[in-house]
Amino acid sequence: MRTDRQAADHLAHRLDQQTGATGADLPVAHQREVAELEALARRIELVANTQPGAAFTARARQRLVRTIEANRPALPARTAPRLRPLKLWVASLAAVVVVCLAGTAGATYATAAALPGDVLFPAKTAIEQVALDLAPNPSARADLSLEITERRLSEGEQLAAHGRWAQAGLALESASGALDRSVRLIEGVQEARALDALAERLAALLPRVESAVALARGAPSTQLKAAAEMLTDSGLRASAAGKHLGPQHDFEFPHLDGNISPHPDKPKHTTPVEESRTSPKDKGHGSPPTHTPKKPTGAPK
Amino acid sequence: MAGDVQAFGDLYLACLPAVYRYIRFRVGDESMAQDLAETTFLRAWVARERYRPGATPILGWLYRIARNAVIDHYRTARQNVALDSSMPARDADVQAKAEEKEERHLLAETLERLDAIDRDVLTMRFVMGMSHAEVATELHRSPGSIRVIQFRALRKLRAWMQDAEEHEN
Repeated sequence: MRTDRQAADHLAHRLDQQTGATGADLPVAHQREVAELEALARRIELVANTQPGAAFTARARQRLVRTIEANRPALPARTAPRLRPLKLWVASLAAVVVVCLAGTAGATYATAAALPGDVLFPAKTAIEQVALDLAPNPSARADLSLEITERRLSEGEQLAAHGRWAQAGLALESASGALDRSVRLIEGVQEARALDALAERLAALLPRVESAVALARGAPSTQLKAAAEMLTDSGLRASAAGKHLGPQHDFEFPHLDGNISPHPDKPKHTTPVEESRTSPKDKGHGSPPTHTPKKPTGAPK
Repeated sequence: MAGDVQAFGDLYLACLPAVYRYIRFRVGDESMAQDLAETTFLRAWVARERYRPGATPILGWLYRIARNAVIDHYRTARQNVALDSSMPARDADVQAKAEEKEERHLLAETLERLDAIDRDVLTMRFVMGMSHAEVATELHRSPGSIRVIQFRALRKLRAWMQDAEEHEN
């Protein structure tokens, strides 16, 4: 019995790839058995080692979120005297991820550098979510959300530049969600100066969004084109909201001199937002803003 | 609430690989595994109030839901859906892939024959990729106890696998 426990500990050490446990004090038969059991465990790991495809992951996530949104009354939480914030889930998950990675030298750096489709990318987004949850106030949270949006845009551009279309699509879908979240968070900020600073930053982000949409629409990938449309819709929502939040800033999206229309198969003036924006020009009231979208910049943070 | 949905989407991205690995290990077929993975996360959303952060690891909780989804699948579709290893290989050239599937099937079947605690420990450890400490928290045992269960369960599994292979030969 005692030998079993020693052998079990030795096996656990070997499976965890810890050094210092040689098992030399175990009987030879047990040492051999431990080696065989370790091989069996590795065989299970190897056989089970499959990954869901990036395209499925993106599609299924989109379907999941849409199903939840569309069936909200039909999919209530089963015991719901009050809602438990999902932030706790994410914090818990991120803690697990961080603990899992803690033993790996450079894991934090690797996580920060991970791109959509990389093994460590889910850990990166989970950590970002925890950072959002832990932000000290609404304006800091909104600011961080804008930063994450920029990060996803840069990642999408970087991945597209390397022809990794599916992963670029994931990044831009995520950027779309992050942009929507940023707008919601900004709308919740009460303090006037902070609100103005955030509105300015949101306005500065829209040309980046427009650039990413143009890039994605030109890519030979249906997934990336679909992501472009999601991002366009988010850009239009941000533009409409921004005009209320900070009317002194430039919230035109897309720009009249830019290289995208709200939707490629629709004329520019067909959306209400676009129509209200283009009408002054149509009626000869002044000239439109002449903001040019910035070129994609550098590597993601 | 929209933020909750977004956070749940992020959670999905973080946990999908482990959940998918488990389901694919059990059912083999890729498209079936994808369907069941989606089912698992929808069920998780519906049951989200039951999750107690800190009391149990999120992967352990999702493992339970995924396991029930797989059991339900086999229960309702037993007449129509066979395990992929029983299906004829579509391409005779993919011998190695077929053998790999056969091995997966044998391992998955043999794991299912173990006692619940043995099966859960081995599945959470080697299929879901959870640590000894996480499994211990999930099963309300000490890490030392999990190490011993792991050792003995692998020993049983090895004996049964050897029997099965000898029987086959």
